[in-house]
Amino acid sequence: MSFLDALLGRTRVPPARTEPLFTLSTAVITLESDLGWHPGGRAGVVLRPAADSLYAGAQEETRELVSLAAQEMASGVEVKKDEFGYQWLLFADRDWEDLVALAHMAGQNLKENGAGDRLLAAVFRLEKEGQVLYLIFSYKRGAFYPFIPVNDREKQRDNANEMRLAALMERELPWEKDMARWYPLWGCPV
Amino acid sequence: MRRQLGSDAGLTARMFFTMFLLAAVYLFFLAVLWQAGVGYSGLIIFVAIMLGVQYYFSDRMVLWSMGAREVSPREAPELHTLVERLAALADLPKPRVAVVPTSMPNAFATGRNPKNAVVAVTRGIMERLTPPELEAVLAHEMSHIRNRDMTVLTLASFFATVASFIMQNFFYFGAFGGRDREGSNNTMIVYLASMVVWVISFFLIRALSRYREFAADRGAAILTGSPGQLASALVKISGSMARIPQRDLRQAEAFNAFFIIPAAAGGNSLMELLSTHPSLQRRLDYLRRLEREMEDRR
Repeated sequence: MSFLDALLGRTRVPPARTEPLFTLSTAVITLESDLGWHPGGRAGVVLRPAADSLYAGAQEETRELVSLAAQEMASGVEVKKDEFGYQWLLFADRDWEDLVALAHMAGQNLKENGAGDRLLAAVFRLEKEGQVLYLIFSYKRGAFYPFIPVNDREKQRDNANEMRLAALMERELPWEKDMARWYPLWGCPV
Repeated sequence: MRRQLGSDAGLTARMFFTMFLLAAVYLFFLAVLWQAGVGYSGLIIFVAIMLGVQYYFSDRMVLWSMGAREVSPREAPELHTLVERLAALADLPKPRVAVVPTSMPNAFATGRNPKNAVVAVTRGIMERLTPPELEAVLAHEMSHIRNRDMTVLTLASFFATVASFIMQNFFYFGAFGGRDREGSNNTMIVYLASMVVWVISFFLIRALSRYREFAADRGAAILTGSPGQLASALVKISGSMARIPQRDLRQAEAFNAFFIIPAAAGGNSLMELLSTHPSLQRRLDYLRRLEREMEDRR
């Protein structure tokens, strides 16, 4: 956001970055062996639908492409809308690499069809002893951050564990340094 | 590859032209003050300090005077989620969130910069709007934050405030001007110049404020991707705004500049010229145009 944009009231949504997603394929080793977080077999991409037909086309094409790829990889795909009107593309697969590939493919395809500005986040589920960790990738920041919900209704999250994770993972993943931007996704369907 | 809905060249040009005119009027005013000699630098410093304090504490002052209360994510989970997601989409720091306990449907944003910004909504607006409509209203307010409208309008009204001070305290300055003929002549000239500057800048600032509203509407459309939701929210809010009892209207009058829709909406073109916000019809027309622009971008 340049000075002139602010002065003249021009709005630009920053473009989405999808490439950093691939750093996840290797980072999972550290997550598993050092920290004990195991892949939960699920991931998702969440986006804010636009009203125009151009977006609808991009979204439809992406859904078809991802479904085809998922068939080949024997993974499940589901489309869901949440109470805020955001759209979720949900993937289920035992193989971590496949989940990363699907999430990247979905984001990349939307971007190529000109709907990249609609991308909010990609979410990966990990588990440890009944606890769930959502590793969230912000497309706008091109960075990851953790979200460990403790109680959805009370809006409580495990900050201690999240910060431990940040300390240990920030060298392996492009990490969101600003903790004020670790936005939760309550009731995350992933 | 699809380009985002771009900026509105016409709107940008009008905004730029208005600011240019305002700068010209202010330069003229400064030249007159300079010609008149000493005695006014103290006033300028005084106004600078006054506006500076007002600007610096704008978030707290406006919240306090509106009776708004900051709410935690636990108290207003839906509101916080909407604001967080918009902040993430726009790559803005998340503003603080406040609620005004009144049934009048409205929303406003304030704060000196994006890091110290607050968005506030009334209970009434939360009850009346659907989540996507509320999101559109929040996106409009967050565009105000992003465009730094608080800063722009504070700076734009700086010398207008100086001029209005001189007008109000004419007799004080008149006495100050000394007994000799030249001194009182100078005072008279400064007084007349202040009056002219004040009137012209008043219209220019109001025009600028209206253009910033259009820009914020456009920003909301770009952020949410659905101009229709904002249009529907505006219709809903203004429909119920007209039915508000007089007492509330007067109470709310001073804060119109911050609101998404002013409490007292005039009908004719003169009222429009004096207004901080464009008329509902103009905003709806503009949003319809945005809807078409989005469709045509192939």
